[in-house]
Amino acid sequence: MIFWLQQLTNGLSLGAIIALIALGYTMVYGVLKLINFAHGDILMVGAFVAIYAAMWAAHYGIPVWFPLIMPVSMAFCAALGVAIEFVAYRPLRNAPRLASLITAIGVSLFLESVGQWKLGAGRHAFPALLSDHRIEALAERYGFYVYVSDLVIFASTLLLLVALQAIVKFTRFGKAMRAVSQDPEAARLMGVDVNRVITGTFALGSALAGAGGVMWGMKFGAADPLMGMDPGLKAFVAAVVGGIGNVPGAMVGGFIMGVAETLVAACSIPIGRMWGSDLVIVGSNYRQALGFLILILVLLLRPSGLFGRHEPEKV
Amino acid sequence: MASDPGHLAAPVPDAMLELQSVSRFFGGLAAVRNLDMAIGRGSIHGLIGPNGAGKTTVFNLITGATPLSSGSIRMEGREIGHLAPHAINRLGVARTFQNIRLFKGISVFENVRTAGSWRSGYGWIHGLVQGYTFHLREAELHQRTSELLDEFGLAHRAKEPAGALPYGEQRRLEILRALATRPKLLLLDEPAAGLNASETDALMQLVERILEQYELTILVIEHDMRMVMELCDTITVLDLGERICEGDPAAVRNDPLVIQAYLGRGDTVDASDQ
Amino acid sequence: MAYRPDPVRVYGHWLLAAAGLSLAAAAIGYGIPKVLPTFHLDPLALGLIYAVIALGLNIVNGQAGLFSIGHAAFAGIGAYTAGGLSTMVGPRLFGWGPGMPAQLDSPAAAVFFMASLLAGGLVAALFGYLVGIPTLRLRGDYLAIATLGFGEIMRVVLDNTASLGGPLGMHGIPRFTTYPVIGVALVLTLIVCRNIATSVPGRCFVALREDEIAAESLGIATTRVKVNAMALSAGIAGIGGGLLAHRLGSYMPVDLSWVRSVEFVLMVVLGGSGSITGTVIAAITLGMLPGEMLQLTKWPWLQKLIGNKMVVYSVLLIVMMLVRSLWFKGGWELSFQWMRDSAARLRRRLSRREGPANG
Repeated sequence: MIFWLQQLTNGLSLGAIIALIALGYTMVYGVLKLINFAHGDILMVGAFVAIYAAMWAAHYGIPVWFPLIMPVSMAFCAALGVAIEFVAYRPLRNAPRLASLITAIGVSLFLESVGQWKLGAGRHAFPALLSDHRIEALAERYGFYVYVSDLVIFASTLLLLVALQAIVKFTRFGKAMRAVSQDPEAARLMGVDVNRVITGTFALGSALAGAGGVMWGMKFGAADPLMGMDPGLKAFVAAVVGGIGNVPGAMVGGFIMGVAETLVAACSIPIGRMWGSDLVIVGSNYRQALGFLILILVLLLRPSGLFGRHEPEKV
Repeated sequence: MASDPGHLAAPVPDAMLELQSVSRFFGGLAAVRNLDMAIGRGSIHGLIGPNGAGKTTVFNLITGATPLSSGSIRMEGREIGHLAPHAINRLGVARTFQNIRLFKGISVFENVRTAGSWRSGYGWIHGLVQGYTFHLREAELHQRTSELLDEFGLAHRAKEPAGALPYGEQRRLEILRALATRPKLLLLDEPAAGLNASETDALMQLVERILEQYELTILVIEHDMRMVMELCDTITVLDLGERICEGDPAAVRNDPLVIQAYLGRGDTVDASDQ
Repeated sequence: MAYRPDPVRVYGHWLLAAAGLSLAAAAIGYGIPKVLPTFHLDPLALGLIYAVIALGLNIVNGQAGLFSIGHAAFAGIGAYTAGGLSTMVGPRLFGWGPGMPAQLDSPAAAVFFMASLLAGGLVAALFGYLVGIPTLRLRGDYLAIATLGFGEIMRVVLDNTASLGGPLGMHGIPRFTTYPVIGVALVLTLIVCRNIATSVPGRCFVALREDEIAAESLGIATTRVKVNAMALSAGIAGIGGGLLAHRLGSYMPVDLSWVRSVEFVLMVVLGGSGSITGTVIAAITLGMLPGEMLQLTKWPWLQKLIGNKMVVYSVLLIVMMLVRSLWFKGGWELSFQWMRDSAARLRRRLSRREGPANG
């Protein structure tokens, strides 16, 4: 029981980060109808910015604190996202959607390969920005491990989620964003500066990816140039599960993905005997496939996601 | 002389297409409700009504693009309500679209040839081997396509991409493309939309000509009242998904319900407005 | 009175084409190894095999407009099937083993090799069919993601299948894919793709790409056409995968990853999405690129500039999309019709130029 509760807790803390990243996908898709393949790699950049910022801070004797480092990452990623949009996506605004999809894949490969080229393919240790204390009372009495860092990550993620929700719901920019995602043409005619909204959306989404990168790095203690693929993929699935373009949906989808993955990874299912040995499906071996399995199932059963509205093509 | 709105139209003796209490709901909204309609063989039947009356939905129901909620559609006595669009086309129903749906990136010739292709008379093995049967059937297909383009004055455009044609010719090409499947029943969705008066005249001539030449039955949705009144033998008027009137042009023109449906919404039946 | 083609002419052309194509296959199979310097042979062989796979992908991506990022997986299925037959069944029948010289010692063995390539194609086609039925209802980028997902699932499954080598993959596959084999395979693939493209099935693919709703209103059974396109495309990719496995001698789950699929997509897109000629040219160029880059040791500065293959690839991808207007046309094919037309155009231009001088 404690074991599963533990897994559930781990799943929720993972899910919170995935939700954060998923928001970037869903917002960009909302305004641009583009799957921003490079989103996961922006996250990678965010993690590395944090590593270098921490190094720099330590060098100059500035305290290496999480609340100091994360905004740096977020700001850098926001700028990067805007730059990518400007260089790679904006010229293709009126092109077939598949052209921009290919470009997005290109940007993703570019960030990864430049990362591998300049930073080396190996893993870089991620600085400990938070204390690694765990809550001893729970650990001693129940064998239930909760780390302070996890709590902080979880709390700051929730904070960011709430902040974003507030931006989308209550600010002029959020209103403009929702208008653009409904109908860019109509929004433009109503005086919304669509280009600015798109730029803003990329900045916002990429900043969240940067935050996600820092948290991902802290959670797993390392960063490497390909680290963005895995969370990027999971976050994308989460966005689709929640109904891509739907902000609360992406949050729920993120938690679903996090919990599903942790629980499946904790399973091993014996499927019988063959040639004298036990055949066991070890869940953790399939954790990469799980996201895609969920993705395909959702696409097939409910293409518009759990919270999306289905829009049939007009004849 | 007003016709009785709720009354069933007199049974059409030789119907090409019959709709019986056809309904289609989108969520709770009835786009079409309990529609009865019969289209006589060889006639031109008009389908009119204010915007949002459900006219295009009727087309989509007939061609299978939208599944029926309830009711039955019979083509020459055969139930087609449950069939897929391609199967319905192969039974002899072809259509055009309100927002022209040409294969824009390929040539005019290819547009028409592709449409006739399920009648090509050869299978993929022939296509793969490309022996005599293939060349014979392809030659026939090529000839049918060229004839159609020649006859309706698009031969000089044959090699141009369809998307590059002027609007009026795109409309004409879409009709030709539908004809290439050699339908018995042709559905035209606002063929005159966006055309000027002389283009509309040319279109009307075209419609009457293909009606004779290909022994067609035509169902047409149109807002251009001059065209509808001159062309159609029978007109069905829809409003809010229901039939409010059916009859010949004269009867429809004077029907108070029709006038109310149009004028009540600031729309007009008057031809001079178009 | 309908025009009837003359049977003698039709079959005459047919035989002529068959002879010409046999000649082309022979030229690839026996001519190129004689003419080309040895160090270009390996990269070119890869390029030619990639052309087979890319031609398969071109059917769905280019002609039918169904965007697949899963074709490395179909190629991989073909590779594992054919490779498995060669490493597990072959040794029992013919005594094949690791380190086999690159030749087939008996006609029976050659037939077995061809059959295993075909089997790889068929299994891949079956997968294409099975994947196609549920996923082809999806449109555009959703389909792309679903096929990507399928490929990744296949990769992870193979990673975890110990009997197929796990993450290390399949090794000791006899290297049967010699130049003559490649020549025959490529020419046959070209014939299939060209003939499909110039007959009714190919036209249906294009109609599907242009406008699915219009296509079905014109009697084209869109669902069936899509699934057929996917199966055909996957089958060709599977045969290409089998060839690749027997060229490289090993095949790993990594070869099924979506990054590899993107490389194939790049070939099709670079070739002009839909053009058979363009796809072949692009596939050979891009396929040769990595191998040729290894030869750049003579020019260290150039090697440094290029740095790493994927950087070049990704920049190429982005730039190509940005100057899309140059590539996305795709209508052009190298064909006799084109040669005749351009010859006529040339003649006209020449005569026009001479005209005023004479008159």
